[in-house]
Amino acid sequence: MTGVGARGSMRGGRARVVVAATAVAALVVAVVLLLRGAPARNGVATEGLHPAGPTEGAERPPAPEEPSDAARAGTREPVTGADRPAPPDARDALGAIDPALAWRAQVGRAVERIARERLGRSLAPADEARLLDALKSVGPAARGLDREELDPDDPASIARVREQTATLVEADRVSRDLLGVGVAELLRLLDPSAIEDRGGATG
Amino acid sequence: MHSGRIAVVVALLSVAVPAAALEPNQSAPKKLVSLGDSITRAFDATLPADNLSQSWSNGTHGFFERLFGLPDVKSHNQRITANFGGSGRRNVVVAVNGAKVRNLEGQAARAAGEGFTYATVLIGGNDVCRDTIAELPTDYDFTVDAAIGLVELFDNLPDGSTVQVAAIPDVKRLYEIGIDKTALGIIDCQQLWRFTAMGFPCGSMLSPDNTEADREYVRQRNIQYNNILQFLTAIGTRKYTNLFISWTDETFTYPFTADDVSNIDCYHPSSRGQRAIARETWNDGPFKDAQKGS
Repeated sequence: MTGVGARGSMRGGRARVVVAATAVAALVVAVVLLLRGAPARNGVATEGLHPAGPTEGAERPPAPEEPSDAARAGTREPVTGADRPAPPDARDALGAIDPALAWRAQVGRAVERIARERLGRSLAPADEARLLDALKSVGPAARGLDREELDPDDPASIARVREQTATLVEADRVSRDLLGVGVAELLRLLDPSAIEDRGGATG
Repeated sequence: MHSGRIAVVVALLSVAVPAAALEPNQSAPKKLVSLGDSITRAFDATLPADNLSQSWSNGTHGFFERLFGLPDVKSHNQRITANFGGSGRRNVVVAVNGAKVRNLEGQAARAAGEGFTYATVLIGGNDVCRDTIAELPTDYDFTVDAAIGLVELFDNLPDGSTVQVAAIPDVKRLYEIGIDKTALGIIDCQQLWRFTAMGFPCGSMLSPDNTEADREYVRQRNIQYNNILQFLTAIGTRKYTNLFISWTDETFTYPFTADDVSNIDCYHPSSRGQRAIARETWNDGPFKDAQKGS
């Protein structure tokens, strides 16, 4: 190999590194864009886009009373590219979005999909509002029960446990009334790939 | 040259398996299957009926669980992803509500030939929980049914797979917690059990007509069934040297409290109970050194 050839080979090697690095960077940008844009498509488009497995490590969505940037991402204009960030006025507008409204929009889209699949139609606006109200109560009640250290000597603690349990049962009843499935089953339907269920309730 | 180094670095980074967590020839537990009953399906754990995302074995805490604000039980499935990586994962439940140990063979057959590298087994609660004490299986029947089921499972797993068999929970302890919940006025568990309308008839332990001596007898059967399962697991460990088979009695000995038991049916583990089972069995299991996600 001549000196020119060796230098050419080194240049070629550097070029390959640059190309590889560019490709990796492009891939990272693409993944970020996909993840950030996913909820904006139909509210359930994160299926199959979880970076660390079927369900783990997915973008953190907004809990009903625990909004995050993802909530805003779910309702904003689509991002057009990493090199074209939203102008300052648009970002200000994003910050002004009510997280609770963002949550309702996101869950509403998910529920809409299940209603169409199961019932062949959308829910009536009043029914959808009733269902969303019920679903919104699930998180605080479930986490409250999960965190509550029941104090047998504290009537307030016992009352809280009773109330949270009743809230969960009532939310489940509303979901069964309107969609024909309980809330836990609704969750499973929203992401059936997370757990392959080959068991079932019978047998 | 540079690209070669990059390739090596990328390859090293992509191997997330902590070597210390695996024995020589042991496969990473990325393909998980759970066998068992309603406990593994997290029946009534948080919401009425199955709560698969809250299962100690298969539980998930992904986008929708976060969106709805549900608790995180830190299941075996989640710990596997945290410690061994998310690529090539499977997370399958073949556990069936109401399953008895005689149904284990059928569940194992459903798991056969699919290349699962990790199986959890938690079954037998419905053998302790029968309509009447007279219906409790004999030692012989329980042993034969459990042996057939375990052999079907062990025979059909690939070399290097791991199996964890967990003890039947202490059903009498669950009964006592239900009594406590009733006394506190949280829920009238005894009224609920009287009608046993929640899909888990368990008159052998929960019937208000039982005496304390009856319940102690049922508890002794509970213990004996666990002895049988442990014995069979030990035999499996010797016979199936191509597998990594282990036993844990944490599911029996863990001191469940009222918070760990469902307020919906006073019997099944709550999300806290599921989290406790996941934690205790993982930490007493073959991957206890892998502590990411705990």
